[in-house]
Amino acid sequence: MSALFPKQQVVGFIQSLVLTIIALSVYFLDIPYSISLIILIVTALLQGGLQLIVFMHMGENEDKSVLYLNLGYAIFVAVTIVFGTLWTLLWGW
Amino acid sequence: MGFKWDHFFVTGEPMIYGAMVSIVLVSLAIVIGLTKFKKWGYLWTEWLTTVDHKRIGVMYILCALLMLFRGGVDALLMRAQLAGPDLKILDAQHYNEIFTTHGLIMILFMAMPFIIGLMNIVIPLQIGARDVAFPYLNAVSFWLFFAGAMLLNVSFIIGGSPDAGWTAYFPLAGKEFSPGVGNNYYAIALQIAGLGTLMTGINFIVTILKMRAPGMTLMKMPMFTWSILITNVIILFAFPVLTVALALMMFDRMFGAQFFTMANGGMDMLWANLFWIWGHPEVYIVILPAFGIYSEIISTFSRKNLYGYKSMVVSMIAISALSFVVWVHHFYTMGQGAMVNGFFSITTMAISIPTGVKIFNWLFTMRKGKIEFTVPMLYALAFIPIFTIGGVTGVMLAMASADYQYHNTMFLVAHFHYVLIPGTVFAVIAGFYYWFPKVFGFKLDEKIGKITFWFITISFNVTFFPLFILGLKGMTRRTFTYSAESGFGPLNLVATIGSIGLAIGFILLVYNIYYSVRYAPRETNGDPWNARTLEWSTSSPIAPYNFAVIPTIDSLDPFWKSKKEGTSLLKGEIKDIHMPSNSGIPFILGAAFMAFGFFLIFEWWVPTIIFSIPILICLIARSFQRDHGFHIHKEEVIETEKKLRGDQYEEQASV
Amino acid sequence: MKSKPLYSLGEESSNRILGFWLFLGAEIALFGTLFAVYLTLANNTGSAPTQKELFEMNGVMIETFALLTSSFTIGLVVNAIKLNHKKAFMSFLIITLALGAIFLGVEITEFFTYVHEGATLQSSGALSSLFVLLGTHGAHVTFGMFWGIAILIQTYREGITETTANKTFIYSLYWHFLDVVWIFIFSFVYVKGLIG
Repeated sequence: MSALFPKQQVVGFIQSLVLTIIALSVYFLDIPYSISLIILIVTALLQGGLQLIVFMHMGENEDKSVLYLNLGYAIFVAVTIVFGTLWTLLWGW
Repeated sequence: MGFKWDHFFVTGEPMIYGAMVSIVLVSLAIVIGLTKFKKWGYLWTEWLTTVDHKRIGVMYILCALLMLFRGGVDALLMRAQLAGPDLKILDAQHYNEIFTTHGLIMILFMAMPFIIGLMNIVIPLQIGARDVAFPYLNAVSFWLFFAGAMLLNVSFIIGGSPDAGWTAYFPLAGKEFSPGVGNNYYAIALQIAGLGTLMTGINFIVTILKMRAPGMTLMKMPMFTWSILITNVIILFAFPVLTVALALMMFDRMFGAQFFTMANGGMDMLWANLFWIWGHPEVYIVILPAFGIYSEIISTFSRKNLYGYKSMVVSMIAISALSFVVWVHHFYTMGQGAMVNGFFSITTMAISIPTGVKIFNWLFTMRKGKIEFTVPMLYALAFIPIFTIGGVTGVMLAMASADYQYHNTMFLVAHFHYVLIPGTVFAVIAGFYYWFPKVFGFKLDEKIGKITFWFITISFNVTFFPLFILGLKGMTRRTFTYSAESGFGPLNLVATIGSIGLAIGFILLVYNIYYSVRYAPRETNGDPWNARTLEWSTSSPIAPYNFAVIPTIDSLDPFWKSKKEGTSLLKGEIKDIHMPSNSGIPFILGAAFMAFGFFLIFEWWVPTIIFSIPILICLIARSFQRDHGFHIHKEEVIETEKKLRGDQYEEQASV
Repeated sequence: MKSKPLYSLGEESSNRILGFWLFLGAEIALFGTLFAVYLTLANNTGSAPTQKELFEMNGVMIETFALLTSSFTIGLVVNAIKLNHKKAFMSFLIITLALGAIFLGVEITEFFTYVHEGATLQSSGALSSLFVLLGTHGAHVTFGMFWGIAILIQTYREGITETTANKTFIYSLYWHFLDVVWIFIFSFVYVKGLIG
């Protein structure tokens, strides 16, 4: 029966729940805005990483170097688009 | 029902009536011809349901040539209207539709399919594979492209073409200022075709990374393969941005959203921003394969290894990364501050450096080589100095402060034609001449080809060089006329004369195909150019399975090496070969998307929803399908090899 | 040396998995663009209701825990493949889809509530971008529901084979990815919008 609930997956699930609760706490505990944002960024990145490595078995794939490169490039493009757009259209001077 | 037929069919323009009549006549001719010669079955089994990368490539290139004709006619009409001041050949509305379709067709429905077509034919052969990683998906890519292309092409007779430029800036492209269906065609046709391109990106990255012949490490791949790998990486990450932008355009125009509006919190500049985040990588998508083609051609016809292989690879990787951080240079004048413009000026100037490295590598490849002035080589040789003019004018434009003078003048138009035509267009023509004998078993005529080359190259410069000067004199782009007092007349007339030369060049190109089909000597050794890479080791025409035995390679230019050393690449036992089955679903899916898209464009919601059903059925059918292909038995492979290679079979293969 | 799992045994299977990971890279660019649009327009509320006025933390928490748990259960489905346990496979997949249905139910109710309160796609730039970002994610989840049902039927009929295992693994990558996107939506749309 316990083979149906492998330890790594259960631990990962609990970790994501904890991270979610920490993220929620910035709302329930009225944490100041800039600190809240940092907490949100950190918890989101950690949870994302958790999903990729533990749940999606990224490190077990035979093509893992390609996968890491793909992920890196995708994040580079997404970050450039988000912050490039905000800087160009809103924040930049 | 009171349906407004004159809003459906475009009326009031004799040229458009003429086009409608010719489309009907040509379609009838095709249907009658197919019926008379009983070729419907052949068409269905050999072409419409094919998953063979070589056939799909041929179909892409055929479409590209037809689109080159259409885009070229658009250009000739524009040049006719601009030949003198205050001409009345085209009114402003018509002119706007023509420059819009010219841009959309040339970039998205001519350059892209030509490149993707060459990619399809050549890549599996160059890496020693039997097909791409996902043959069925490959067919879907083609038919989605075809659906998008058909939709855009039908717009000028049904409903009206998009008319806000190929860049479709808001608020002009929004519902308020462009109330017809024209820019709906833009949003939907490009979206459908773009889905196909994204699938191509995935397909070719997996193919190149996972299906290379044993021994072909990444650094032993041909340079064209490297250029295609990197191009497809750019496609993978750039096209989703276009997908979003077009979807937002659709929501604004058809569903009243406020993304790009001027009230209620919309931001019109957001469109320009998103469009160019895609648009700049897009121009690198069309130029990197050209660089790859030139690398192959220059190396082959200098009888030398490509100089600086590693720096060629690194420079393309640098270009791919930098291509995502330069986009604001397309709208320096539109409201950002100096810091933003300055940052992007620096990144834009930086991206010229890796390209410069490549130019020097090509020159060094030719140095002390044995140059053979074949038609493909002539285009490569012309490319180097002419593209450089385009490139350096790009660096001029890169400086934001200077760009305030050049932006949206004819100087800009000259710049991008000076990189696109000697860059992409010459490359695909050269690639067409170069790989044509591989696919069809005979070369295109060299003499006609050389005349064509000179017509095109000289006419190109006559057409576009004056535009630099006109831009500096103050002539704005996208204007349908100008006054005599402006003094723009004489140079415009020169440009128009040049465009006639380009038209003659295109006619000669097409004539060459006809002439060569009739008269060119057929060759069967598969290696008409004495070339270097694996694709030339196959027979011409190529067997459906490409390689009877997958070669094992251990160096760059493995075919050249095997010829020099007198060894054979075809060593090994011939076994049963597994092949993917044909499928009718991609074609049906494309047709369903075309119908779905058409009704969505006209905002006829009920038929739109109805035609989403065949799309879903196709997806479900494919998911439940368990067709694992078929085998060509080894006896049949041996028979085919004997037939295609004739005497060389005994020399080259060992069973 | 561990043998390769059933879902990536053959060349075609591992090619399909690589192809799908690449597709997810493209989806990161897609959602990145939607986030860029949302963050740019988030304060452009015009005269329409603002996010702070509209968002309800309760619904968000139900959606988050439903999706997060469904990401856990789809992982149990993949584990069941490794154990060749068809009954566990089917049960966990049904639970995953049920949790997905809960997510969608709450989200659809949320959208109807917004419209009822005068906040529609057409009301402001902020709301247009909110609806399209949430709606794109929701449309992906909806597509995933149909895909999951197809996999349920195919595995029920054919059992756990290399083909169904490979398709299921790829489906699990998709489902996990949607949870990753939700984490960012939850953090930077809802929580940020409520503390803002």
